[in-house]
Amino acid sequence: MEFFVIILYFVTYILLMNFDFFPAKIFNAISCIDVDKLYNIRLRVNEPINLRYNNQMLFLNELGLTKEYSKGITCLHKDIEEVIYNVTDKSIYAFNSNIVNGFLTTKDGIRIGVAGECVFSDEKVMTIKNISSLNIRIPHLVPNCSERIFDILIREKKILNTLIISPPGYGKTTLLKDLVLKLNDSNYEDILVIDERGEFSSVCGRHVDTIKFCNKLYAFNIALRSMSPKIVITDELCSCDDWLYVKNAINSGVKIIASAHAGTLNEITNKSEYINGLFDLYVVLNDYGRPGCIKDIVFKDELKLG
Amino acid sequence: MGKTIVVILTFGLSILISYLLSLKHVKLHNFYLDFFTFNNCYENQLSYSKNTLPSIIEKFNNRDSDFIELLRRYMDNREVLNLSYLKDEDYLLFNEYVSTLGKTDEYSQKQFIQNYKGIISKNLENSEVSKKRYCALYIKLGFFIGLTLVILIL
Repeated sequence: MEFFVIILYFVTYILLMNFDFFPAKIFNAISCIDVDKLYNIRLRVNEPINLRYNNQMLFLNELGLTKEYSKGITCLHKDIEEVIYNVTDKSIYAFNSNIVNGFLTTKDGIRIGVAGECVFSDEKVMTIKNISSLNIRIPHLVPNCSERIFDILIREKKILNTLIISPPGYGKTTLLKDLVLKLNDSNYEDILVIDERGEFSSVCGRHVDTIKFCNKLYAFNIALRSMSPKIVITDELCSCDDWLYVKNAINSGVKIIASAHAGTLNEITNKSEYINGLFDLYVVLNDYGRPGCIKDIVFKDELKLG
Repeated sequence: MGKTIVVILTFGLSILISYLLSLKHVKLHNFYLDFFTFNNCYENQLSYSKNTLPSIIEKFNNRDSDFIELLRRYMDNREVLNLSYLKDEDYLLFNEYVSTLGKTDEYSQKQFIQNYKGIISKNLENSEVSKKRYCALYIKLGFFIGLTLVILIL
C-alpha cells in the first residue's frame, strides 16, 4: 500500500511540474518526452537546445529528442527573454536580486541558472543584461533516497550534524528534501529550512518552517533567534562565513544538516574554509542512476584528514 | 398635452446629446488619471515592496477602469481594447509605456518611470483642461439649443 502511495505522490509531482514558462515551440517539444528522465535543459543563444536526459546529452527537436546537433531546435535570444519574462511573472525588476546572484526559481521550484553580461556599479553587480544562457535544472523527488541516513539517525537516537557532499547535479538538494519530509513525518520538531533559491517549494509539513530567498547571514543571525529551531537544513556551504555560521549554530545547540560541493571527502577536508570536527556524519553521493544515490557514509571518527 | 411631451423630450434629448458629447472628455481624463496613479503606484513598488505586475494590477484601487483593462489585455497578449475616446497618439504612448513595463531591472525601470512621469502628467493636465472646458461648453450648448427648440415649438 505504502509503495502505491509513494508512486502516486511521485507521479503527481511530475505531472504538476509546470513548463508553461517556455515559448510554445519548446513547450510542445518537451511535452513529447518523458519528464521523469529529464534532469537538465540548457538554452544558449543561437545554439540547439541541449538536454541531459536519462544520463545522455541530447538535443530537443519538434518531435522530442535527437542526437544530431543540426536537427535540434535553435534557441533564439527572444526565447530566453520570454522564459525570463514568464518566470518572473512579467516583472523582472522584482527578481533582480536573484538574477544578480545568478539564478531564478519558478513557482514549482525549478532552478534556472542565468549567464550574461554583468553590469557593475561601485564594484557591485547591479544586474545581468543580455542574458545568453540558461541552465534549467529539473528537480526530482526520489522517495526514500535518504533512508540510509535516516536509519543511522534513528539508530543513534539523536540528530547528527550531517554534511552531504557531491559535485553539482548529483542530487544533494533532492536528498535534503527527502530528509526534511522524513524528519517531519517522524515528528522531529522545529525544523528550519534555509531555502536560498526557492528550491524547497514542494517541501512542507507541520514541523517545518521555511525561509526563502534569504542569505545565510540573515538566516543564521536573525531567523535562528526568531524561529528557535532544533534542526536546521541548509544547502550548499560555500564560503568561510557559511562554515562559521554553521559552527556558531552548532555551538548554540542546534543540529545542522547541510550540503557542500566536493567530489570526495579529501576535497572537502582540503578546502580552506573546512572546519574540522564540525560535522558528525559525512555522506558522499555518486551519479549512478537516479539523483541522491549514496556512495559512502563516513562518521567523524573514521575521517582521515588528507 | 402632446405639445408638452414633445417639448420635454426635445429639451431632454438636447441635454442628453450634450452630456454624451462631453463624456469622451471625462473618460479621457479618467484614463490619464488612472495612468498617472498607476505610474506612481508602480514607482513606489519598485522602491519598496517589489510586488509583481499582476499583483499590483490586482490590488489597484480602480481595477475595473479602461486603463487597467488595456494593461491586462496587453500583458495577456489578448486583443487590444478599442476605446473611441483615445486618439492614435494616446495608444502610441500607452504601447510605448507597456512595451518596457516590467522588462528590465529596478534601476532601469525607475529611470523609465521618471521619463514617462512628465509626459503622463502633462497629458493629465491637458485632459483636465479639456474636460473642464468642453463639459461646460457642451452642457451650456445643449441647454441653449434645447431652449431654442422649445421656444420654436411653442
